[in-house]
Amino acid sequence: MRAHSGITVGTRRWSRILAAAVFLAIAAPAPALLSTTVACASTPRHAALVIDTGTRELAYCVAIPGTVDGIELIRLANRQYGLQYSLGFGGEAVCQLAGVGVTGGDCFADFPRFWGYWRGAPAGGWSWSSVGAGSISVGPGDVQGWSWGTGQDGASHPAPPVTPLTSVCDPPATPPPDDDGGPGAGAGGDGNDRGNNGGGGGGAPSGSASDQSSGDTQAGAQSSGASDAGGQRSDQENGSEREASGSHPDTSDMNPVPDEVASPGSNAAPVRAAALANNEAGADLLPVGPIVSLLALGMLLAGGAFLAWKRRSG
Amino acid sequence: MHPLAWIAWATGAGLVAFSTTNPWYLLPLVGVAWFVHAAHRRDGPWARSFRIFLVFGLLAMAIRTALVFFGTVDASNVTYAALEGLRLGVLLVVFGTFNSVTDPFGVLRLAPRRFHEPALAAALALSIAPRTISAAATVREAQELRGFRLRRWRSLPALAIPVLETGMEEAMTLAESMDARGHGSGTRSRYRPHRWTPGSVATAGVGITAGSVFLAEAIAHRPDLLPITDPLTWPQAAPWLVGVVVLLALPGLVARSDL
Repeated sequence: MRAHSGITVGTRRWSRILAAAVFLAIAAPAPALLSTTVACASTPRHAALVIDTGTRELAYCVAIPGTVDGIELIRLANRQYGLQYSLGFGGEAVCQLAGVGVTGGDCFADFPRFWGYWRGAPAGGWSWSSVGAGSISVGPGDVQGWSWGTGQDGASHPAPPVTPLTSVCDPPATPPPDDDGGPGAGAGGDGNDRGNNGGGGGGAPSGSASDQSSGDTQAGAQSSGASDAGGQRSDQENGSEREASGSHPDTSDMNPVPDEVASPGSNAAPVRAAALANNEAGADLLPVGPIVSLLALGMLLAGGAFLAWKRRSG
Repeated sequence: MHPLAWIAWATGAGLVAFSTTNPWYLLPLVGVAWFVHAAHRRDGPWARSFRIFLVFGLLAMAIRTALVFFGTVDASNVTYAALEGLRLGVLLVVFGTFNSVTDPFGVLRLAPRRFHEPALAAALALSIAPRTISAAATVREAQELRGFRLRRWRSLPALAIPVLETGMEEAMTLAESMDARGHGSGTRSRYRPHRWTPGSVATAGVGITAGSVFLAEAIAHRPDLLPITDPLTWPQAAPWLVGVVVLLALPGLVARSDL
C-alpha cells in the first residue's frame, strides 16, 4: 500500500518536472523571437562589413535586426547583397568570402593564410579579434573587417584598409539619434530577404552598397549611387598596409568605377576564374560520386542480407 | 584468420571513418561493415556486438544532433551535427564488426609480454558490452520467474545490481583462468598457431590501403572530406575514393575456411 502511494507520488513529481521542462523549452525562445521581429519591422539599423581579399576590397552596409553575431552579419550580407561565403566547423569559422579562401570545410587548410577577423572603431582603425566572430555581438553602427592573408595574429596579419562607418553607410542612415534611419536607408536596408541584386540596387541610391569590383554585384555597383559612396571613402584608404600583390596604385583601386572597368587587366579576373572552376566541378556535371556511393551502399546491404539469410538457412 | 589481419582491417576502416564527415564516403562504409559482419560473424554471444554497436551508433548520432537544440537551430547547424554524429556512429559500427568477427582474447595473445596487463584490461573492456547485454537478459528472465516485473524505473536496482555483480565476477573469473593457463607468463603455446593465409593477407592489405589513402588525403586537406554545410550544399565525392571504401568489403568475399 505504502509502496504503491510512493510510486504515484514519484510519477506525479516526475510528470511535474517534465511539464516544467517542456514549458521552459517552448517559452524560453519565444520572447527572443518576438523581440527580433519587432525590432526588424520598426527600425532597421546598419553595421558595416569590410572585406579585404588581398587583391580587392569590398564594403557592405548591412541592415541588422537588433544585435547579431559576427557570423550572422556575413549571412545577412549574403542575403542582402549576394556576398559569396562559406563557413566551416559548424559555422564557427570563415572559409571563403567573395570567392577567396579555402574550398571545403577545413578553414585553416592553408594555415599561415586564413581569414583574419578585425573589429573596427567607428572612427576608423582596426583591432585584431582574438575571439571568434560567432561570439562577438554586432550592434548598429559597428564595423567588422575580414582580411585574407598570412600571419597568426594582429601583429603580422594584414589589416583591412582603414574604413570608418560613414564611408560605408550614409551618415543619415546610421547615427542613433536619428531614429527613423532615413527613408532612403529604409529602402535599401529593408530589403532583407529580397533578391541579392535587387537589394544592392535598392541600397545604392542611399549609398549603402559600395561593392567596388565584385563581378556578381556589378549591376548594383555600376549604378550612380555607388559611385557617390566610393568617392566618399576614397580618401580614407591607405593602400600601403596591403599586400604587394594588390599592386594597383591607390587611385585606381579606390576609383568609384569597378576595377574591371577601370583597369581591364586587374587581379579580379583570376579570382573570378577560380570561383567559376569551383562551381563547375560541382554543379554542372552528373553527381557521379554520390550515385556510385549509393549504388555501393545498396549492393553491400543486399549482399550482407543474402549472406545472413544463407547462413541462417544453411 | 590471423588476428592481426582484423586489427589492420578495423584500424584502416576506422581511419576512413575518422577522416571524413562526407556521407558519400561514410554510408558505403556502413554497408561494408554490415557485409563483413554477415560473412564472418562468429557463433555465440559475440555476434551480437554488431547489433549492439549499431544501436550505440544510432544513439550517438541522435544525441550529437540533439545537442544542436541547445543553441541556434537552423538547417546548416543541424546538418553539420548530424554529419559529425554519422562519423561517430560509423566508427562505432566498424568497431561492432571488429568485435563480432574476432575474438578479443585471441588478439590479447598477440600483445608483447610486457604489455600483457594493459592488453588484458583492454580485452576485458572490449568484451564488456556483449557480456553485459547477455547478463541483463539472464537476470531479467530470472526476476520474471520470481514474479518480479521489471517495468518501472524504480525496479532498475533489481536489474542493475545483479548485472554489475555478474560482470565483475565474470571478469575476475576470466582474468584468473587466463593467469592459471599461463597467459603473460612467457611460455606461449604453439598449439594451432595463427597463420598468414592469403585471405588474412588480403584483409590486412585492404585495411592498410584504405586507411593510408584516406589519411594521406586528410593530411593534404582534400576539400570534399569535410563538406561545407553553411551555406547548405550537396557534398561532392570522388568515385575512386568511394571505390577505396568499397575495397574494404573484400574480406567478406573470402571463404570462411580460408580465414
